[in-house]
Amino acid sequence: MGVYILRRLLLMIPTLLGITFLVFMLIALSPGGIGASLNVANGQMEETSRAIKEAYLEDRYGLDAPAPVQYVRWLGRISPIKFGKRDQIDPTGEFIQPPKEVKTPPLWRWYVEELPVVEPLEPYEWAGDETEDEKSSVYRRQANEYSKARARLISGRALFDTELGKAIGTLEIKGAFNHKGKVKHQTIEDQKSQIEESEFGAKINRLGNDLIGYYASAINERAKLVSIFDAKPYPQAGFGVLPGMSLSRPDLGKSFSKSRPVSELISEALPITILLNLIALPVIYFIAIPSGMLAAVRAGGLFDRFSGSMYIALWSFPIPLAGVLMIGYLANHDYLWGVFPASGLHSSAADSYTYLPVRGESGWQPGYVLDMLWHVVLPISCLVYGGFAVLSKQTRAAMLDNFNMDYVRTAKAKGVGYKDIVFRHVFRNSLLPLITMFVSIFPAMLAGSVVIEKIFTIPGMGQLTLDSIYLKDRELLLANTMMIAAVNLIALLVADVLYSLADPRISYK
Amino acid sequence: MQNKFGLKDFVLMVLVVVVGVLTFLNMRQGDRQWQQTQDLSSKIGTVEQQVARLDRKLQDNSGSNDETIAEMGSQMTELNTKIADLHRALSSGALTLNAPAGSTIDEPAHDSTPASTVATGREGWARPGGVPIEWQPTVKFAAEPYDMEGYRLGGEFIEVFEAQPSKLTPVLAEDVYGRRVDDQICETLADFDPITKEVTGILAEAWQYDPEGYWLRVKLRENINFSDGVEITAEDVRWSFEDYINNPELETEALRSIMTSIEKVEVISDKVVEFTFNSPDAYNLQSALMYYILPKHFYAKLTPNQINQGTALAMGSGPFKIENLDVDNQWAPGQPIVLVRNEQYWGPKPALKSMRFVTITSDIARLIEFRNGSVSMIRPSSPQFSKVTREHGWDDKAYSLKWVNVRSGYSFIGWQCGPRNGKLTPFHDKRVRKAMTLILDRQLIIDDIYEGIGVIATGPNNAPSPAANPDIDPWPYDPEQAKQLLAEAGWVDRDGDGILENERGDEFSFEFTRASGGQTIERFQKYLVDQCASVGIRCNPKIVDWSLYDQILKNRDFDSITLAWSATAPESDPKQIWHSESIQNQGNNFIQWDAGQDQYIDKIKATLDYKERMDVFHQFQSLVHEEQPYTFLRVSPWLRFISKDFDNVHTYPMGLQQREYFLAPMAAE
Repeated sequence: MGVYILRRLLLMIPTLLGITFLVFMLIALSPGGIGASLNVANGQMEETSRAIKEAYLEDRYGLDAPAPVQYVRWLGRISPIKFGKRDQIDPTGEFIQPPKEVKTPPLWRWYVEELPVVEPLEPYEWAGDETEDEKSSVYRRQANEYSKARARLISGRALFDTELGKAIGTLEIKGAFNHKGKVKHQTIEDQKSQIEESEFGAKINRLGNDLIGYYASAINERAKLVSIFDAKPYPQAGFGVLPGMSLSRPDLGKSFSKSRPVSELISEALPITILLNLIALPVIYFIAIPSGMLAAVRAGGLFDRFSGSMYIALWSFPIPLAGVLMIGYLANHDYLWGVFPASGLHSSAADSYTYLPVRGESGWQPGYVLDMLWHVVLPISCLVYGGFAVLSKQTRAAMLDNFNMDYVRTAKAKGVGYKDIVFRHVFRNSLLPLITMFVSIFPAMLAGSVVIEKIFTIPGMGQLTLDSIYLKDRELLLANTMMIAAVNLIALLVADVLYSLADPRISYK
Repeated sequence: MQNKFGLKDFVLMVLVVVVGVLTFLNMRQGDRQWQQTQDLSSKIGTVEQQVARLDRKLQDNSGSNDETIAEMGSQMTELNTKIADLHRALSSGALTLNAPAGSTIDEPAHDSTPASTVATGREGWARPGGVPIEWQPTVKFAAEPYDMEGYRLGGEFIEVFEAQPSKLTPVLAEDVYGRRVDDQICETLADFDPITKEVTGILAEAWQYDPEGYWLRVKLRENINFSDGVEITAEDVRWSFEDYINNPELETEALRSIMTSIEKVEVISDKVVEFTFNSPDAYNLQSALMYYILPKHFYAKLTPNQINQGTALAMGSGPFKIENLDVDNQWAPGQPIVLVRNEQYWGPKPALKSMRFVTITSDIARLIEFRNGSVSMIRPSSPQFSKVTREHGWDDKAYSLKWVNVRSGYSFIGWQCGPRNGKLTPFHDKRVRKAMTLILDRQLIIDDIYEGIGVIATGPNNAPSPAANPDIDPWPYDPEQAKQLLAEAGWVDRDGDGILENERGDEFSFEFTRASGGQTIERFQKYLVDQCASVGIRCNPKIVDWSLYDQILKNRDFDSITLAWSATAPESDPKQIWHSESIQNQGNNFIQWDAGQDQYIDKIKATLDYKERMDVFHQFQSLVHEEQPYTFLRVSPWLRFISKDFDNVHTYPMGLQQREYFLAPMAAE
């Protein structure tokens, strides 16, 4: 059994890789591609400003690399085994990565014979008595210088490309733009004289020469930064195993549409979704299963027919309509039953409540826990009302099957009590389909119910996942997909293990 | 004996777990209370210190105890009268905030001269050379509430956001909601006056703007401070631009890439700062005066990473502030945003004690929460507005505000004036475009589809923006003239099938691209198709997903497309949308219109004088009106419901000013 579990766990890894890769490539191939949300004009921008902003964002998030390369980089970040230089951790807990490479300026061959090169410097020499803060500020100052030099290079390059774009437009050179609208420098490499003679030629030449200068200063600053980095101003992260390989904490990255670490976003949304579903699940189960059992025991009777049709009627009622109706009538103070809140998970004053209810001078204060439960009533009702049908019908069918089995007749003949027959024998054997259903609900838990979250303004996982897809936010999307896929696979594994526990006939040897 | 795990055991186990969880929560609660009592006692400590100081001062100032009491009594009455006088004087504008403590109040100082004299003289800070100084009036509310009946302090104004803002840190918060919150917390050197729409100084007392447009020298007001009491100096102005917005390690690219015209910001003296521009442009003044001035002493202590990842590190000099600025324990999206009144605000203090922003994503829930009285203001949709305002008794509950202001946008149909994938569309001819405008009865569209809410848009700028040409009326509904124009352009029904053809025999058929949406856009599309058919044009709607719009616009892959622009300021630089340079490089001139507008646009950007620039805007608008590169459809007014719990609610050309409101007295039963 242990070997089986281990085998299944190891098989999960390639499955996860496959799933995340597929989802990522689908989004990357959709119109706009990864990072499209960043370029949506929120405000009108001159195209030079927009080009500069796009250039900054591309550089920061590595969006100009082809999609598979971005995927592999993400893999490298989340894997606990890291290659290359080790990151360091600063006092606030952030990873400091080794300084980024500088990209060579485009079309440099037009302006110089050879690119400037810089010799790597010796690791920086500390004076020996610096405090942590002083070392940190030395690093920070140089990091800032390097950032500035890089920023000049990036914005210079964006301006250069913009002017090139104008020249190409007026000269109508074909095939010079790639599908994203960026200049393809290889295509126009041979057309230097033509471009120089156009009206933009002088400006292009000036910008191109400037670029070489910016490049030289950028690589100089980088060399200095690398030397300080190599002198380890901060403690290193993780454990070194071999030179060039180390074990470190997996880093889920930063969501670029919300500019916050993905782990923070998920840690805020996940408890809310789990809370909702943790309350909803028992409600569904403790209503559906007993009514299924009762319907099976008195098959064909009034309760059976009534509950069956009721549950199916509820199941057919669309959730968005139900949610809106609930808000309209149960949350509106103009109506008799309008006692529930219309949105959110907490009242306005909830941050000053105590946990348990108190009776103070200003009357009765419900307390944090009760207030939250009160807010959660409407969303939970929306979540559960559709779930009774399937579960109760399944239970009823499985139990009816078992009622006709030989061993039940034997037990009755032996004189076993009716209650024991129903609960100990028949019900136990009907558990298998229920287990299957139970573990397929787990992934639904994580994905959350987007419609309910939108109607009731609950900031849960559903909204987060949907946002990541709409905004094509690479890190958030991959993290969410991986989590949902992992939970799916683990739930399947748990189902298989539970089968073997519930039914001694099943074993994995 | 069998040891089965039965139902009893399960129930017992659940009970144990519940007890455990409650205990743990209880402990946490105890911690919270402990922390609160600690905070309270430290606050009490500071208050005690202040009282002690005051006590000592009083004792020092007066002699014996009896004298002290009598003195105090008379001082109190004097103080009271002085405060009343001050209020009145301030509200009538007779007194500037610069009067030092000793000046007598009944000497009315002229509006534009400060009563105090800084040691270097009134104009000592200015650059010599005769460039005129523009003194700014005292900062006050557009509608003063102090003398209104029932004026009192207190109250919480609750606004609703339709979506969750992801962060509130100034400049890093790029969405509309984050900026709305930051507008209450931070201030700029100048802003548009809510009524006159002109650039008026807030933190800036005066400025000198080079007529050539290369430099701008700004003098800050005296006695202005951030919410923690620290004075605002020129260094903060410089730091906010050079080391915050232009810091490459901070994620401020969106703003940084727009402000490339400011070359540097120099500190001349404690209160004087000078901007240098690398090329003169009409919008340099706005650009330099309208970025948030942030406190260097607060932000310089944080690492760039902390600022980038912080969700609500917002501190400024505005009338409200965020209570909790602890880096480790910040506001998280999902929690309500609460701003409290800045008790140390240097300007006219708002009556409201706090402002709260809650997020409600469902529009039905928003209306219900408003009806229940849980929120103070919502933005209803047009159908909600027209339906709810007809309800009996609604006017007692809420102000129903509907007004076109400077920030209202306009919707339009853009006609492809240039080639689409190498081929020209029928709309390259301006007569055809004008004909398309003439066949649409825009007033009917507004009355029927939009229930009468809105006005016909006349151009890229609409009233009340000063850039709108008041002499231009929208083209009337005239299908006969449209047919004439089409015939002039060569589109005639040559084969009698009811569809127009040109000389080559091609049918007049075009694609109308729109995003999938609700009922209003569908009804509009039907109307368009019908009207086109009535003059013999085949209109083929193409419905695309909103996410594809960006690409379609960039690649100019449309014959006609419908969209809307909104405005943030009374005038905006027309270059991005209208200049022929914006045709290249996937710029925003996606209709590829080039018909002599460049001279006007370049002149607008080069004209530094406000009145002259508006004239050029008017001429530009005349050209656009003739050429009809867009068919301008509708200016959508702002719709608001505001609870009648608040008073002093006014609508302005620039929007609303919530900081003026105060709690209305309860209606007598």
